[in-house]
Amino acid sequence: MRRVWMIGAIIVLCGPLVTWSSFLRTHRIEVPASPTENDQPQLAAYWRFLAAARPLVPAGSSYTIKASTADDETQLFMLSAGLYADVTPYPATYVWQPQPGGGSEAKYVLVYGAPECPADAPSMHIVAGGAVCVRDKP
Amino acid sequence: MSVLMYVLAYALIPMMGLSLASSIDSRSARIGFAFLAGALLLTIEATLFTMVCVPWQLILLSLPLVLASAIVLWRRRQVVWRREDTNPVAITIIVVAVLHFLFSIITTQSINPDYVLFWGTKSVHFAMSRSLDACYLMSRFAPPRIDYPPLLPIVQAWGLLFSSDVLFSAEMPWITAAAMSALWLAAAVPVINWLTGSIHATAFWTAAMAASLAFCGSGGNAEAMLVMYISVGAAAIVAGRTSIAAIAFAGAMLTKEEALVTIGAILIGVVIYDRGIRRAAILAASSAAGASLWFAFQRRFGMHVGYDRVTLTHTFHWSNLPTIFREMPKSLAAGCWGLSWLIALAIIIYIAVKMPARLKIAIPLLVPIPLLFAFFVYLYLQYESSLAMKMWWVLPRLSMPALSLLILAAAFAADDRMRAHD
Repeated sequence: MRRVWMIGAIIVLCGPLVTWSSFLRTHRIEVPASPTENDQPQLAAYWRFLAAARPLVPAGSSYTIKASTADDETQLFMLSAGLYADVTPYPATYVWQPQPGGGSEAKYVLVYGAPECPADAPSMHIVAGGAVCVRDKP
Repeated sequence: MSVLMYVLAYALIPMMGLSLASSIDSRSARIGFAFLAGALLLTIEATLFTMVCVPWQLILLSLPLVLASAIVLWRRRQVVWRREDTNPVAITIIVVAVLHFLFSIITTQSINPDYVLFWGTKSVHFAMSRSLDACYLMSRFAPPRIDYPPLLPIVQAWGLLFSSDVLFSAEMPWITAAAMSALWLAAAVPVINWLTGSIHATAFWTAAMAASLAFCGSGGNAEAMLVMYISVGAAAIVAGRTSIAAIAFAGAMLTKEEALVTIGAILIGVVIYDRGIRRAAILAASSAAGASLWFAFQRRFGMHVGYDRVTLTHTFHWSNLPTIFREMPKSLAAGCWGLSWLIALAIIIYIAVKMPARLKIAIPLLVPIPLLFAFFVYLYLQYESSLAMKMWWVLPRLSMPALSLLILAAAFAADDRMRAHD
């Protein structure tokens, strides 16, 4: 039975072998820019934007997130909770529902996608994937 | 540097669990089980600290557990260590399998979206607040799945707490923290080897589990912990190590609520095998104790007490049956076209035909498998929409404990234990 186990284990490992040969053919080995870089490209794009914007948002301040769809805003907000744990959140959308005030209380407005700041947050810093806009009087 | 500190924090976990692993007479299995037990003890301690409003401190959390380990080890310092089977082919397979899972995570092929959406998020908040932050869990903008038990976020928070206290910086090394999922597999391997007594069967189990865990995207979420606790607990039952099984099942119950169904099914197998309820009652009590700690925490802070995950409508859509049976085989691919299922099943069938008496010992592992699949069908019959897609999302993960039980059943029934151990 011992040989059966060994041969079986080698056969099972053929699955991972095929996965790796396919992966190495289509990907370069490099340090991933986000935790979901090769598995969830959309989440990875959100993550890269939030990580790029993070140094511009100081701890203890407040932020909101603007994007073109409620789905984008919801997922960006969920992801941001880990990266912006020391910043007070005022989501414009939470669990696909627009929030009262639309995040107008926040000092920093993270704009995902086209870098266009809201009228009340004119100070703009372009980052990869969007912009960080700063309200003078949140 | 923060990556190194994070890894070092995990390396300290076995020192916290050695007190519960002192009965193990294999060095590698003792360290492996001490890791699983250390994570459980850390979770219990961290939860209790929050319940009595003591903030988490590195020394405060680690010292009592390390001291307990030192005292127990000092009292039991006379150990005749069991000789370890060092078959080079089997060990090579085990190393390759674990590395497959590890590198699948590091290259971000197998990191679960839930990790960045809520598991890791909770960990960061818990580490920052130095507590199992009930305010965050009940806040207006709470993360998803606040009812999930706390073992994984506490252990991940421990890594962050350790690195931030030592380096005075508090940045979560996200990919490293997710890669620690592979450590759970690596920790369980020597324990499974010790319990089954077969390095060859252990190599097959490791290959199958690594392929499946990587395939299911189990980096950073609680899947690896759950499967390892369940596997060690189930194997310990057959090996007659009830205390090891009780500890493992308590760990499983504090990891994910799916443990409830799997452990329930295993206990039915135990009752059938034992023709009595004594052992099942002990294991049920330890599992209930694990869950009770989390429920006590929920009650203490005014949260909804219990698990919210499974919403059963009790309205059955029988038209789902064709979809269930069509989609199920696809979801059981386990990263190797389902070969891990088929090979283990072939071994069981061979033993059933040639040496049926040997299957008796594996009853506690075999009985739960059809029960679990019956539960899946029962669950999927109640789905109202998008059944195929939801099955594809969930079933590969849900079926992993059943796959592990099948392989372990074959391992015990095959009975090719190392001669020197008998």
